[in-house]
This record gives sequence, structure tokens and C-alpha cells, in this order.
Amino acid sequence: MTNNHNPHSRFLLSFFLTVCAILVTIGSFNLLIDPYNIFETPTWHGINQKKKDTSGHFARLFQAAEIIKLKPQAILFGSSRVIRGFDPHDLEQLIQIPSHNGGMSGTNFEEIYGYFEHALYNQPKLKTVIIGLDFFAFDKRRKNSPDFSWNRLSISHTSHEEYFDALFGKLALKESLKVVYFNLTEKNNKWTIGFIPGDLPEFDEKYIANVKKEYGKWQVSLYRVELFRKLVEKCRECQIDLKVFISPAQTVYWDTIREIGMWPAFEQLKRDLSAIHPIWDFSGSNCITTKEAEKDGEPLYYECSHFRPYVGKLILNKMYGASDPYPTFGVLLE
Amino acid sequence: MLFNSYSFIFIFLPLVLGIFYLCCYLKKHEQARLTLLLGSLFFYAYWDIRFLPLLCLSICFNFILANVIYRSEGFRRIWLFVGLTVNLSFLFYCKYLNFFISSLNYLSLADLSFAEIILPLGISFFTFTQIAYLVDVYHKKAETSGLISYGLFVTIFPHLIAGPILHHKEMIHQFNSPDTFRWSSSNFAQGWFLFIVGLFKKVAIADNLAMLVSPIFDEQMTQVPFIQAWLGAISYTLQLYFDFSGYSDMAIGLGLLFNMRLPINFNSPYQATSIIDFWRRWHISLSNFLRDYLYIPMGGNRFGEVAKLRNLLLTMVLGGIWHGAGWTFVFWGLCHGIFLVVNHLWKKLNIPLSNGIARSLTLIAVMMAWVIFRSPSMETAENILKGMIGMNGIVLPVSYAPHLSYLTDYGVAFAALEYSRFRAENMIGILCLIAVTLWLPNSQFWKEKFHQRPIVLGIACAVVMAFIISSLGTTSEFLYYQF
Repeated sequence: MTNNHNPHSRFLLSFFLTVCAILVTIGSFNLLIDPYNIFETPTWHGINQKKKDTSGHFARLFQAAEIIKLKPQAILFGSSRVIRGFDPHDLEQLIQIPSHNGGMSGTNFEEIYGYFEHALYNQPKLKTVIIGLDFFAFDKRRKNSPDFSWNRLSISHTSHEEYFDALFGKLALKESLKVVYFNLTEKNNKWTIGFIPGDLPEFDEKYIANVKKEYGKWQVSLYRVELFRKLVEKCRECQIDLKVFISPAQTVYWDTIREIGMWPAFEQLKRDLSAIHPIWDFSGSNCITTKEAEKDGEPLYYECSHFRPYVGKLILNKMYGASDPYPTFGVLLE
Repeated sequence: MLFNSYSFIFIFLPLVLGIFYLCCYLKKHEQARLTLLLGSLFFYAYWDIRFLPLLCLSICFNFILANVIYRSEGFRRIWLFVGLTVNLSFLFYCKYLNFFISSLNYLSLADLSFAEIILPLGISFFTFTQIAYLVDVYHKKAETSGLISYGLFVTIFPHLIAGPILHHKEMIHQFNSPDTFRWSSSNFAQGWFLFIVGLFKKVAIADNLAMLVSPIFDEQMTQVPFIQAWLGAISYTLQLYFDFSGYSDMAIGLGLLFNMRLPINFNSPYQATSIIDFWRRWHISLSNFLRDYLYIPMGGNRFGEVAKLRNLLLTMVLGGIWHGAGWTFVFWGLCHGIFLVVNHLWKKLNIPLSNGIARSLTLIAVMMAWVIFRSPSMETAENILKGMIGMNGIVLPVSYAPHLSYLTDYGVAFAALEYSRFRAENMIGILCLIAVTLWLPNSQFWKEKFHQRPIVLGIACAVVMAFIISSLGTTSEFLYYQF
């Protein structure tokens, strides 16, 4: 069919051979490493066992696929505070139900609602939902993350576009390389999807500067408050045990919010949300946020905003009434 | 389905190409045509299957009506009137009804609620293609054809959503020509080359420019300063060109993969030396349509100079409305109408302009009109245009203040530019793109260059293709899909 002396045929031959060679190489590597955990490729210790970026750029893709795969009956939603602060095994021990940490960095409530629906679609017998709320989740100005897409939610399979992207996408390739590096260098064996323990850099100053910038123009999104109401109603309808809490952070964090004059707005938001559903409030000033409890020996925070799994366990115990070593930590707003 | 999606490149296209050429190899030409038609309908339905019956209904209605007009002796005009009324009413209902209601409400002439209508994709393209066909059948300039050929003429997937607007004369004979069903390595190679060039324009250039454009136009800034306004306008001018001409390159390239020649839609439009010249180079198939089916039927230049200018103005306003139901499109069309009128009057004065000045003036006029076209509202357009003429002052990033503080004496202010994402590398990129659009030949020229170094070109195209494929996860729809 082709004539090798014809320049067009030579163009076609060189084009197709080269493109196939490149794609097969990239595709095989990504398939082997499976950086988003969607191909269920066998895992090799020290190569691809631990998937790194479950909280970064691909958290939304990762979580959508994980929820389809795991179909958890209990799920935690929230931002990086939830990712860093809650070991799902702690929740499993408490409620004896397979649990999953569905945290996504910097998530807003629209995204949380989308993933709640996705979890319910894939697990109609969803029993427990725990949501860690952040002030920024209701900020009108905080848009959905670029990797958030409604198209990948409330479906029971990962779309073929996602599969192709995971095979040939440059971000997937970059992530595969990171996974290999991470597995070669990371020694922490206590690792589960969605929950990422390990030290965070102490960057309080920068963080506080960012909080000032971030919250300076905070405006409540009534749409997201409405979504919260919708989620609560859906939980009632499906008899899902819903627990909602406001995360603790060090007092410097709350003082900054006061300093920029956003405290009344924060309080109002708490009143609005707790009028819809009871909320556990771990914010403000208490023995954990002042770090007073640290004298008991356990470190409480990574830095001013992100608490450690020890605090996460305290929160779970408080909400479920399991134990209460620090009575001033956490108030139920009704 | 998007051309720049994995599903299209890895599933749809290989499948349709494979079946098409298998039919060709087995000399089953009718089946090859049917494959293309079914493939095109699937391509359309993939977006939203609810629109498919509407498209099929529109095709069947116009096909039957064209045959009736062709055979009718006494009632041809009435049948044509029926056809135009039904097509335009359908278009008006889907695309313009809510705009009409909002305009009435705005003028306090009524207090109507909006209709819940989902706009079928590509409705303007397939409606106008068919209106042109009916008019030509009426004037006995077009023959009728079989349903499959007619269906292909309207739906063939490379052009269905965003053009080029096809003319039956250019297409129908190709669906029946034996050459269409023969393997041609020349067409196949040129087709792939154009497809890759188009993909590159879209994925590597237009989508990256979009990130710079969006904050300027969409963030509702209270005042857009001079530099930001110009950067926004220039970036959008480039984005639209690379997006739409990228789509057209892909469409023409895909046509060539099936041995079909779709009309050229762009011919280096920003190299135009006048607005008249611009409209001979930008969206050529739409310009031809507006000329043949609006301007000339309105009287064209047959009734004197004043009537000609009036017809030009009206044609461009209607052309603006064709693009979308909104006042920004109306004003954009009006702007181009006025530019054309000025251009024609200027020609009468016979004052020579150097090529450089003529090109610069044309480009600035086009750019200012694009600001109106892109803006979500007339207020935003006014804000950016004010910025472009310096009414909102000059503001530089606050980080420049230590080095350039002396500029404050000349009215330059320093502030945190929250919505400006322009960095030095973006500026260099934009300058390069301006140079490419102003001075380099376009993709039609390059596609003829296979004779020189085909293997090197093949490998280079493969690397570009692999890069594009690796970037498909973050691409977006084509801008002209909304029209």
C-alpha cells in the first residue's frame, strides 16, 4: 500500500513509528507504577507501593477512583487538616466499619458535597460521614480546584479519558517518577491512601501571612451553605450518621483571623451552619489550641494549622463519647 | 466529543478510519459513506444524545423540502418561505429567545420569565448550511442528492460543530467521487500534518493564553489599567486566532484523512492591510456565507453607494448576532460594520497608506473589537477599552517600585496586581506569537513542504504529537463551539 520512495509514505512511516515508540514507553512506565492507583497494577516494595501525591494536584482524581474501588461505609471529608490529622484506622477501631480518609487539600464545600454524592452513589449503604469544616471552604472567592471535575463524580467507573490520562499524561509521568523516588527514599511504613502522616516544615510566618491574604477578602458563599443543608438532609434521608466539626489550630491562627477583623464573620458562619446541623467546635482557645496539653508528652501539631493524628484521635473520641481527657477541648454547637 | 480528547484520538478516529478504508478496500463505497455518516452522528450525540433527534429532524426536514422545491413548479417561493421560516424559527427559539426576553425585560416592555432551553451544539452551523442549500436549490444552483450524501454534507464530523461552513458545491461531488474511496498517502500525510499543527495551536498555545486572558476579562476588576488592558486584548486576539484556526486546521486535516477537501477558513488574517482584507482572511467560509446569502440578497452594491454601505453595516450586525445572543456580539458586529464603511469611504479618498501603517491600524481596530466580543458584558468591555486608551492610568507591580520609583513623577502607580498573571516569560511568548502571526506563512503553506526531509519532519511531528497527547488531560473546549 505504501511506496517507500514516496516522501509522504516516508513521512507517515517515521511519524507513526516514532509516536508509537514514545507512547508505548511512557504508557508502560505509568502502567507499571500506576501513580493514581487506578490500574491496580501489582505493587513492588520500594518501587510503587506507596503512592505519593494523594493530597496534591491529583487528590480529586485519586479520591474519585479510591471511592469507586473501596466503596467505604465510613468516610472523612475535609482539607489537608483531615489528610494529615486522621488515621482511618482510628475511626475503624471506634465504629468497627471500613473507613476511608477522603481529605483533599484546600477543598471547598462544593467539592466536599460532590465527593459525598460520589461516595453515596458508589456505596448506597454509607453509614458514617465525618466532615472537618474550614473557614475557607465557604469562601465565595475560593474556586474549585483545577483537578476537580463533576464528570468524574457519581459514576461507578473511572472514565476512559482518566485511564488514558493516567497512561499518557505528562502529569502522570511526572507523578510516576515521584512515586519511584518516594518509595526509594521514604522509610515511613505507616501509610494509607488519603492519610499522610510525617513531618511538615515549620513555616508559621509564611503560613500566617497567607492566612491574612486568604481571609482578608473572605465572603460567605450562600450557595455552599445551601449545599451543606442539602448534604444534611440527604444524610437524614439515607440514615447516615453525620458528624461535623470545626478543626482545631494553634491560637496564633485564630488570633490572625481576629486581627484582620474576620472573627465576627467566622462566628456568624458557625451560627448559620450549626442552625442546620449540630457542629463540634474545636477552634478558638482551649488546651489543645494553646498547646497546653503538649506537656503530657504527645506533640500536637505539625505547624500552626495542621494537627497530628493524636489530636485527630482526640477529636474522634470526643465526638463519639469514647474518652474525654481534655474536657475544654471541643464544644457542641446546636 | 472534542478533537483534542483521548477518546477521539485513540478510539473514535482510528475506528472510523479503519472501517472506512476497509470498506474502500472491499469497494463498498456506499458502506464507506454510511460509516462516515453514522460516525458523524455518533460524534455529535456523544456530547448530549438529546440533541441527536433535533439534528436528524432538521436534516430530514430540509432534505425533503429541498426535493419538493426542486420538483415543484408553481409553489417554489412558498416552499422556500416555509423552509426559511421553520429553520430560522428553530434557531431563534433555541438561541435567541432568552436574549429577546431579557432585552424586553430590560427595556421594561414586559416582565417575562426565561425559557429553560439547552442550546444544541453547532446549531448555527448546521442551520445556516442548510438554509444556503435551500436557497441554492430554489435558484437552481444546486442539485438534490441522496439522503446519505446530504446527511454527510450537513454532519460530516470534522466541520459539524464549528465549521468551516460548507457549501454543497464544494462537498456533494466529493461524496460520490471514486477518488474519495482510494488510498492517498499524500492526503493522509498532509491530513495528519494539519491535524497535528491544529492540535498544537490549540493545546500548546491557545489553552495557555486562556489562563492569561481569563483574569482580565472575567474577574470584574473595577478599573483595568493601561498595560493590563493591552496585554489582555493582545492575548485574547492571539488566543482566538490560535484556537479557531487550530480547529479549522484540524477540520481540514481530518477531511484529508478521508480524502475530502474542506474549504480553507483562515489565511493569515492578522496580516491584513485593511478591514476589507481582514474579512477575506478571517473565518472565510462565514464571510462568503454572509456575502452570498445576506449582503447580495439585500441588494449588495446594486442600488448606489449609500445602499451598499447600509447593506454592509446590516450584514455585519447580523453576522455579530450569528455569533451569539448578547449585546456584546451586536456591538462587535456593529463595530466591524462601521470599520467596513470607513474603509470603503477611505478608499474613495485615494490617499495611499504605507503597508506597515495599514496593517497596524487594521490590527488595532480588530483587537479593540475583539475586546467587545470577549467581554461578558458591555460594562467590562467599556472598562477594558477605557484602560486601553489610558483612562484608567498606568499601574506596575508593587515589586517594581524600588527600581522604578522615579516613574511615579510621570503618573505611574505601583500596586499589587491581583488579577494579572503576566510574567516575563509570558511577554516573550506573546511577542513570539505576534511575530508568527504577522510575518510567517500559515499552515496551508507548510503542508506543501513534505518533499523536503520527510523523515525528519515525521519524527518532529511525532514528538509534537506525543507532547500534545501528554497534555490532553488539561485541555478545554474550542471557543467557537459556543456559536
